[in-house]
Amino acid sequence: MAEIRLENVGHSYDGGATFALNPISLTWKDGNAVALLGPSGCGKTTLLNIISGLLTPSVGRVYFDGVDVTDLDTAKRNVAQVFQFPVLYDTMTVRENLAFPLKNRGVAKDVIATRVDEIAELLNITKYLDIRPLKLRSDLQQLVSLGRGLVRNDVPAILFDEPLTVIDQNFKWTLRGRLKEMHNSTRHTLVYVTHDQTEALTFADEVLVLNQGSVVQSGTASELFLSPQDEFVGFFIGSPGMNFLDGKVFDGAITVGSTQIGTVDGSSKLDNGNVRIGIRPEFLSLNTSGSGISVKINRVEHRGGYKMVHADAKEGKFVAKLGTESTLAAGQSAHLEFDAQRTFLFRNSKVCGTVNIKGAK
Amino acid sequence: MSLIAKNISLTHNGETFLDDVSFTAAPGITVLVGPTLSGKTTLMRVLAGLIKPESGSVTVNGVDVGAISVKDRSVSFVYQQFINYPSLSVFDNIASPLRVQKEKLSKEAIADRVNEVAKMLRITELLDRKPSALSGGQQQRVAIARSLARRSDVVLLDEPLANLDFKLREQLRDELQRIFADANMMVIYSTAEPLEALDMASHTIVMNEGRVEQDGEALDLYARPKNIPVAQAMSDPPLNLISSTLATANSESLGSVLRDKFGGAFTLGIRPHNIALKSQGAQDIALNGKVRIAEITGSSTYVHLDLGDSETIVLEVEGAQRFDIGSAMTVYLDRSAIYGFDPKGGLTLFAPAAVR
Amino acid sequence: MKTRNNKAWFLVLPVILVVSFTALIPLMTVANYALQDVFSPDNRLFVGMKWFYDITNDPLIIDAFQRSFQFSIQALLIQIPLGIAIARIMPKSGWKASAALVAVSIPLIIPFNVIGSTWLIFSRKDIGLGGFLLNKLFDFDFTSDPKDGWGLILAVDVWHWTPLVVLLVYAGLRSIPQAYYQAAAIDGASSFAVFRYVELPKLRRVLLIALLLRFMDSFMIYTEPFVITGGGPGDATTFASILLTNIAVGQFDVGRAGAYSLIFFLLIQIMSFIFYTVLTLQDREEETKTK
Repeated sequence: MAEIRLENVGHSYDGGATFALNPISLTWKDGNAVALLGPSGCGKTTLLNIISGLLTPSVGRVYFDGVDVTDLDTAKRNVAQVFQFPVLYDTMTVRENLAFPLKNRGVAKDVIATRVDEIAELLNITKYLDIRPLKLRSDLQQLVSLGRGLVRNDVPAILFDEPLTVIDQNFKWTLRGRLKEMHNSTRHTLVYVTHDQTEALTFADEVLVLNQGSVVQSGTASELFLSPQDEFVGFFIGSPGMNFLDGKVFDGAITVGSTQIGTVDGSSKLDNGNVRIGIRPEFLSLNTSGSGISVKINRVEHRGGYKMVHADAKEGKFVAKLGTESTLAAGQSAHLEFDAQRTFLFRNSKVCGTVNIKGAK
Repeated sequence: MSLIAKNISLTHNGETFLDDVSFTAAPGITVLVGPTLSGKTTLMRVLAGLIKPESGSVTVNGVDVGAISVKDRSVSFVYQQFINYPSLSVFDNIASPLRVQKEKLSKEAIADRVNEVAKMLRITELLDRKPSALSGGQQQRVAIARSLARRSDVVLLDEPLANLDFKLREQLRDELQRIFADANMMVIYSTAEPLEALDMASHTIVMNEGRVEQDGEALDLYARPKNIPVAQAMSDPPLNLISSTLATANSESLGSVLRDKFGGAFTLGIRPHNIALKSQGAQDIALNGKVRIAEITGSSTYVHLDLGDSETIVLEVEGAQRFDIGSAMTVYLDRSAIYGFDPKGGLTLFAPAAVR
Repeated sequence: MKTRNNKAWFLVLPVILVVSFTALIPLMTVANYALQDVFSPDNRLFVGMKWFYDITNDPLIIDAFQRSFQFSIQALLIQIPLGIAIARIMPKSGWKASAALVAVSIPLIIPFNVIGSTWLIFSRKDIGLGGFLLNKLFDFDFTSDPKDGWGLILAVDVWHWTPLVVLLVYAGLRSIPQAYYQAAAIDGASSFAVFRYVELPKLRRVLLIALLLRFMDSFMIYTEPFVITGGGPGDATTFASILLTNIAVGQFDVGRAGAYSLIFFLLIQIMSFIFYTVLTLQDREEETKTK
């Protein structure tokens, strides 16, 4: 187990013209589960490969427990990594596949045998141990791949590169739970790359949201959800993401079009100019009476556990996530109410203040 | 306009891929939902005419298309992988089916069509580029545009969003709904994700092990599944299943519900959001367990509760909450939201009266 | 009821026609000769299976076949491992890769008889540089020592055809996804282990093709021994095809030669089939996936 520290680490695939990963410095505590979350091309896999040593960064240094490992190759760094698609040794049985990383490092035979059995048990693949992985379905193959990543106890970190891509929806829930349980008992340092927010948020102690080669915000799931510091985080986290409205601030008053919707919260001082107002669908309420922005319900989607209500106002379009008990229907008029504490002002895509909503509760 | 599949079966090397599949699709979206290997892709290939079924027929607009070769059928196919012609520009990619089809179109007519679908899929600015210069999401938009340009009667989309990022899926799914809502074609859309089916909110067919398990409106399948496979195919997070023996041992009030409702053994099903930490009223059913893990998504927390005997349930509680691993916990099942399944065969014995 | 579109058969027709002119008709002619004793075009006698009986009992011919077989085995044992070794150390990308590929391919684009003549001169102990040096060092003389003659032909074949194996293996290696190498590095696999557990299994199909091609070609080797040793010294390099030509052209014994050809042809077919069956056994096993 190790603490991972990056010092000004960045990478360019074209000799410095553009950076796939802009230089960053960060420290991950020993035993933490960290998720790197972002859309494809955001630099998350580049960052992961720099940590595993598959890629040497163009600039910066990588430290494991204070030791500079930047120039060490992958095998010497001793990390484990699980890939997006099953990567298996065709000529070996599942058991031999699982034992391979241990065998290569000269672990005693009886230790290998116990360890392989433990991992097979954890992943529920014991009954496949003596067949070749090529004969397995792809999701089972991925379990074997996962097992090879988990089999070593002495690794400084286990790295996951979108490991659940080929796993069925229902089984993802089980598997994610098992991984988390394993992490709770072993406290390995885990780094998990994904584009799926549910996977990242539920799995990790700390989530780094990346966009266009930079970390835009890092924090716990709740921090990212409840107080996004960047428009991208507001949009990317949450399903669907934040509602955004273009507005103007003039002497503390916030207007959208010609309607004043509230004032800038006293604690944040804000110069006059354009702002974007962001509010999550979860924190919007729609009432048939009241004083909020008047809207017309455009469409109501019943998604089983909740309802998604699409509402149009002259100020813009909104989506609100409401409970199934809501009786609103398309064509109805209603009033939008914001949760004042959960409404944010953004300028240059960074958060710049909160809002006192006109008529807020 | 209609597409009718009748008694389609297909076996290969003793393995059943399709087992007596029948359904009718009207213009608009028909969603095929089911786990991997449930037969969705095979069925689509049969509908396209790429493989011949052993038995059964496909009728499009009243014509049996069994004897018509693929290229003469009015059908287009979009795959999970983004398939475009790498050497052609986006414009030429979209135009290609129009140039090779039997009824010839003038240059202007082709350009009009291409521009029309490009506008629909918001790729007008990309028309001059090569596919390799596009992101995955853009490439799939091109593939979908190509399938629309032909104005085929039948458009088959085989998990078209599966290889895209979560956020891109969300956006494209909304757009596809909007596009296909107005198009006069039969769109068959396959997916492994329950939320996608619920989101599309249209005619939905649940497939499992090569069979059509149930056919109906998405929300109706969610609320009143015929059996456990349908309930699972329509639930994300998964439906909790608890065997009645364990449930009776764990909860006194559940024991009485079991006797009242059914009087025998059954498998209880309940969705994570219908289990609460606090009792909502006397009707709730208390259940005891130990916390295994808690997963915080930001808006809510999923608690995995160990009921003993290696059975686990998951509950969804609002907001971010911390729980001590291993601590004892009593949770309350919303009685009006429980399902009962036959422990043998998994048929639904009872379901909640309202959508829960 | 299955309906099938049978029009496709017409598309195969030209190929069938061409193949029948290039392969089937000559082969039938050969089969025709093989059953007759031909004295002159209009003086022939039907002899049935006599030639086949003769040939399978002729120690000269049996020796030639054994020699060819042995030669093929030796050629394969050298060329396959050598080809893999060279392909593995070749540059993987950039101009160096292109340069290496061109350099390796040179022997493949030189006409067979030019190769023969070049080596013939190169290996002569009087005027050839190689032959001169080897003669000084090891008393090498391929014109008089059967072992040296055999060794020289083997060396020429290795020089000429190892590049084919290299090219095939190189292409095979390039098609292995990087993830496999990355996973092996993470698992701490040694270079040998990477070869044994990643590369070799992934190269299986390519190696099968290399093995088949090289076996057939080396078993039928003709030009090099014809130009360099003429089948000697003694009959040290009188391989099956050299002997066949001697019988057919030298002795104009077309009947015997016909039967000989058919046996030659069948032998190669059978051995190729055995190779193929054994090597693809695993593929068929793996087709059935566990649910």
